Amino acid sequence: MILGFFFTYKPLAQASQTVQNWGVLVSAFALGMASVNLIRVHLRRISKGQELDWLYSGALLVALAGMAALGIAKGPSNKTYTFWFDALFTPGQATVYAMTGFYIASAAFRAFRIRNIESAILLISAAFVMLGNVSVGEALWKGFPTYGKWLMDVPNLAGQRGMMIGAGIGGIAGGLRVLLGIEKSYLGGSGS
Amino acid sequence: MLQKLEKMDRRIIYLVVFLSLAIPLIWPIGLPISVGPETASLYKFIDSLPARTPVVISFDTSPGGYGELSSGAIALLNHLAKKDLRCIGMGFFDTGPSLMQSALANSLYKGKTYGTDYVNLGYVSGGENAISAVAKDIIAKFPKDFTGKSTSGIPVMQGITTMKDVSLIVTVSSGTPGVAEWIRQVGDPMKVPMATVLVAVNIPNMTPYLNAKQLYGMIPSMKGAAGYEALIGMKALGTSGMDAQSISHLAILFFVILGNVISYASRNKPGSAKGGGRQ
Repeated sequence: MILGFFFTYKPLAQASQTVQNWGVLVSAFALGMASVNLIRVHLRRISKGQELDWLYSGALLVALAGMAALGIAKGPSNKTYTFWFDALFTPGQATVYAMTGFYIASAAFRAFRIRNIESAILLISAAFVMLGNVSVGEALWKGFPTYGKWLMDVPNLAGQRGMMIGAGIGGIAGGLRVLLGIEKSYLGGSGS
Repeated sequence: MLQKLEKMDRRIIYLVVFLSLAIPLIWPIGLPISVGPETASLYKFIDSLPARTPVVISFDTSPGGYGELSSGAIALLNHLAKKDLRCIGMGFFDTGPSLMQSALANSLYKGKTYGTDYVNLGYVSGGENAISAVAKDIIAKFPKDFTGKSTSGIPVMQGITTMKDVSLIVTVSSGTPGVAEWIRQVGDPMKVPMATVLVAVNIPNMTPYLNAKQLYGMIPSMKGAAGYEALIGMKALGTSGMDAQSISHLAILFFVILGNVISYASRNKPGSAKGGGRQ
């Protein structure tokens, strides 16, 4: 795979693509395995019948079976499948995600306190970035977007680049350890 | 009074945040919209493409992130449709293609011909590996589209074998695989221009790619969507959403300031265990 990435020699590229295709197939099978595991876990919960757990697990299994049957039989662009996806799944997941906004507001009120110089810098920076990213910030003072962008483009960028370069070097080191046989934990061993 | 405020019921905070979001959505204020340079550069790039140029849009998001991304994605699709560009859709999140169907139905592509002007190829599992495999042979990895029709020979795919044959790739992204994976596997090695519609929480991580020109442009969250809507002259949810976001940010900042004032006052209150007060 690595050689296929760096060289344009045709047999090498073909071999690399074959391995890649295997990867796609294996990940598709992994999805099936995940479903089997999910069914086993929830069937066990139903059989135990504790409090309301059996009801939630039952609902999950009915939804899983119903959507899978619809998708396999009629395809994911089918009207009924689309209806359940658009009317139940999408708003449900979006609601869960949106609720974090409310928790953040409550947590910020209780925990975002100026206790030392570092927390003061953090709070002021957060205020500039927040107001710099919304129309009302610019309407209040032209400096909010300017300084908010500077915070993103200079201190944030420096920190992010440092982390990305560090993670990249770590990835190369980790890859070399696997290729050279030093790292064996993925085989169930204890490593070096 | 201070104690009462300090122990304020969290439901009051939830109510204030809810009202600060709901009222501007129902009655938009019309705050001025500014267009960021990263959004303007994407607009200019797309505007410079000749008609029928193929553009790949990958919906790499779940419904959780789509709420924030939908207005930007629809604004982008509207621009592509206005310019009569070929839209080739796909997704590397299992939910991506279904969300793309919804976005296409709410865009100007609704009035165009499926299979000739646009297509939704569907989903391939395997994350980053799948992106790389698809990039090398698109039709082989998508023998059928999202609706189950054969993709071989459809007019929208004419002249397209690999990702090198498209003029722009845009990932509507809220996680992994997303922008970084696309750049690593396609943007950089195949030298294909890349852009993204991105959730706000990922903007700091992706700014290095933008500054290094590995991304031609970006529609960052709702602010980017509002800016893009202004550029294409089609005000929609992004614009009214920006009012709601403005007021809710103000509400959160108000609570942060209030929390700090209460904390400072209780620390300096005579007899307080925390501060002891000033004599």
